[in-house]
Amino acid sequence: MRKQTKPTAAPRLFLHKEGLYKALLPFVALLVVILICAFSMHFIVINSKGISVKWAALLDTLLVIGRQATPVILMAMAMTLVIATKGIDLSVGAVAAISGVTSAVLLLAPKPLPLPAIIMFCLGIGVLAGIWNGILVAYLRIQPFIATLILMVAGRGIAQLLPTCKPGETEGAILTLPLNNPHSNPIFGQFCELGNGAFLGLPNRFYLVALVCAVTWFIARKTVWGTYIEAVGSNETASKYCGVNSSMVKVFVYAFSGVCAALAGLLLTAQVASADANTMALRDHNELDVILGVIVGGTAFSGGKFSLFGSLMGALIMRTLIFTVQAAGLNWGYALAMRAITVVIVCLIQSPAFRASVANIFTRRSA
Amino acid sequence: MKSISKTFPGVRALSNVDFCVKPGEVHSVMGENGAGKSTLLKILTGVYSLETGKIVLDGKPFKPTSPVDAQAKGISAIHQEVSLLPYQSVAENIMIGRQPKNFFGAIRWGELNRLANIAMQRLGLNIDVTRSISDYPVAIRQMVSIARAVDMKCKILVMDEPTSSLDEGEVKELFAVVRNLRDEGVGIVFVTHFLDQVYQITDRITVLRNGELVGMFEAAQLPKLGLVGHMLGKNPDEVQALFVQKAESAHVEGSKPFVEARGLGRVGAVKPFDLEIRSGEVLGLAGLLGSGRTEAARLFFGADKPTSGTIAVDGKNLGRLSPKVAIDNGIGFSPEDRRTEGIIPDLSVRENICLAIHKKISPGGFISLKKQVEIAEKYVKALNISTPSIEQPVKNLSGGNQQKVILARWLASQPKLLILDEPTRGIDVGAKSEVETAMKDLSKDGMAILFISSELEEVVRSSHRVAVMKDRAKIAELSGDQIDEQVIMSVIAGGGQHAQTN
Ligand SMILES: Nc1ncnc2c1ncn2[C@@H]1O[C@H](COP(=O)(O)OP(=O)(O)OP(=O)(O)O)[C@@H](O)[C@H]1O
Ligand SMILES: [Mg+2]
Repeated sequence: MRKQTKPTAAPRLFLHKEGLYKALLPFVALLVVILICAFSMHFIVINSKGISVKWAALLDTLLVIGRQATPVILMAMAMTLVIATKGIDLSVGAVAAISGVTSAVLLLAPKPLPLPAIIMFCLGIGVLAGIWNGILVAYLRIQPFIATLILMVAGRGIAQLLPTCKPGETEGAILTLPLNNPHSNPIFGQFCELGNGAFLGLPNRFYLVALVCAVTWFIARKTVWGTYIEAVGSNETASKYCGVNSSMVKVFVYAFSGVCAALAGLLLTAQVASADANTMALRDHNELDVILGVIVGGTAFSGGKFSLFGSLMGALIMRTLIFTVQAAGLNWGYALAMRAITVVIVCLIQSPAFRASVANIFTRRSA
Repeated sequence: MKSISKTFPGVRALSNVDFCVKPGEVHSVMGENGAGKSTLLKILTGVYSLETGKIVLDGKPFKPTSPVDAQAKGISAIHQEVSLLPYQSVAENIMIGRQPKNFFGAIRWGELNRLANIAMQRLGLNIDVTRSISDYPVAIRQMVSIARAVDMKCKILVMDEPTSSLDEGEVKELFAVVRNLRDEGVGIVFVTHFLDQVYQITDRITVLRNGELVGMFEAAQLPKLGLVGHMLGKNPDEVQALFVQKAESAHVEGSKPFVEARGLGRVGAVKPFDLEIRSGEVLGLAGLLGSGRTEAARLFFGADKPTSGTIAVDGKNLGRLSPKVAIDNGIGFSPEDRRTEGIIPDLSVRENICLAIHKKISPGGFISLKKQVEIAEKYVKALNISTPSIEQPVKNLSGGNQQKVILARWLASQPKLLILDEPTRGIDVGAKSEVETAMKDLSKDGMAILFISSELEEVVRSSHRVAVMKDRAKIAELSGDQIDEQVIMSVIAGGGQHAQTN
């Protein structure tokens, strides 16, 4: 029929022009943001003598940003899958807080469980929270926004009440792991070492991020789940008629999101050797960072196709911005404004309608 | 329109096409699936922007920037993929953008419903216009979008496959309205894959092939075979061979039923009925619009839950039927409404074709790209699906090619019973005969097929047995010589006293 009807065995690796553009854009955006960061911190100086770059300092900073970004990246991976099913998980911050505080409570118990058991327990809480969300969305058909809002609100409360499980603590207290006390349980040290230590010159948590990214990528691209997730997000009725169990798919993505959030919570506790329900979930705006990161990465809220690489870049972009503002000693309010502006810019560039109208303006000028 | 071109990534949809419609004529645009008909019309109606070439309207250059703009300048359109607001009432859909308002700018609902009613009645349809669009079947939705377009004062009316799910009665009403408009001096552009309809109403025909203009002809001077020849780029003898003969009489008489429905029904959709489908036969469902054909077919797949009766497969009773259970029992279902229930728009052609067979081709849930590519390529070739690559998102394919992708999906799953609800909707003559041949071959190989088409001729041609539906109930079963358009029509008219062979 059509002359160019030569079906090509072109798997996902092959990217036609539009695809390449889409994949590269978040990466380029990250480079730009890093450049801004480097200039503002005077790692790159341009003067009459030319350009000088302080490589060592720049690398150090990037490492710090990378470390800070890990929890967001973990949650962004799972959030990408959730958004691909046309859903959203607002509760990740709350779940992270619950898991983080729970780990501290368990560690501070008079006779703590072994470390692996504590970690598994916290991850289990994440799974349960995710399954709860999934059931509300898939079986009770509550809008994802509302369904996860429930846990977002309730979860914060739970996290603040949890310390009271430990006798003598009041609600909302900060649980500190007494690391420097020689008489305290070595388990505190082991826990924090897991989260903060390094292996072969790279922070442990980088390996964790690599692992989670790899697992997510594998699920999404090498198993039927990835196809099912896209199918459910793109046309749920049609995928049901193909035998896809759309409810299971949804419960799965929310449960996965719960695990990733719980993992992020553990990292947050280990990072500062303390769990503070208030700051952990409230001030850092974790879930918004995660969601904005995914969007900046090019995954559409309308469901369907998603980009894990984009989300990784997006999460890094969001964290780099915050770091830059904080390092410059600016008010927290600027961080919020910067984030908003970046999201608007990146989303505009990604919108085909916007690009078309810009292109239109230029062609009209030249015509 | 002069030398219009349009390219999409990887596809040149139109190259240097000229097109011209005069006031007071009906002009058909013909071509195979993916020939570029819809693209041409979408440029005229401002959906796609004009890249090269120019359009002249009433002697003035014309460059529609959006569908709204085109509408304001007198071009009203019905697009191939019915685009209505699903949760709004019929009346709101018809009157959208032109709601009658009172002094304070509030909508006058009574007046709105009255006007909408008039618009529907013009098409000979008496339905409750205050009910939501999603309560009605595809055919009614199509009539609603026609009513909306026809009701607007316009100079040019563009209709892209408006009749694809209508039956004869509605088509007649529509054509009466179209003739009226033509006599009032409206220029009408019409796309369809039904050749008879083309000859009933058209003055001139423009033929496209592979995005290129083949030519413009006076309808009266172009015989049917010549037209098909131009569309496919073949000579008339080859074309003649396309028209399939009637299915051989049932060679399956004795075989035992694959699926048996007993007292199957759903309140408000279909009254309880008995039906059995044997392996190796094509069972046609005949009936007018709204007679319950689609509703009956959906019960077999569990797409809707029956409220009474049982279904047995191979003599084994199935409990609660759901699409998943149906698929596991070897039943496939190609739904009537391909856009909302058939295609997964964001997935590629390959992924769409392979979606229903992951149980078979992805052991343990691990996908094999190689296997998928193999299967997808096989069916793209077999069904002649026109796409730049199997990685193209299905939403970028032309309407008819999307339909073929859904067919490919179910052929790939090699079901024991295949339910085809309007499988030929929107596919071109060549492909239609290919589908008919495929049905014949598949049933010979032992597949049972439940076939629905609003084209009675097609049902008669392909079916070994026909069940006739009327007013949401099964009224007769015909076989052998009784399968004849006349007989079926008289059964429908007579209300079933005739030929109760069950
Ligand atoms: N949005 C799009 N993006 C990419 N390619 C497209 C897009 N729309 C159409 N095409 C391509 O353009 C070609 C022409 O499509 P068009 O819809 O005009 O065909 P058609 O003649 O209307 O066919 P049909 O009879 O099946 O409706 C097709 O090969 C299709 O793959
Ligand atoms: Mg078309």
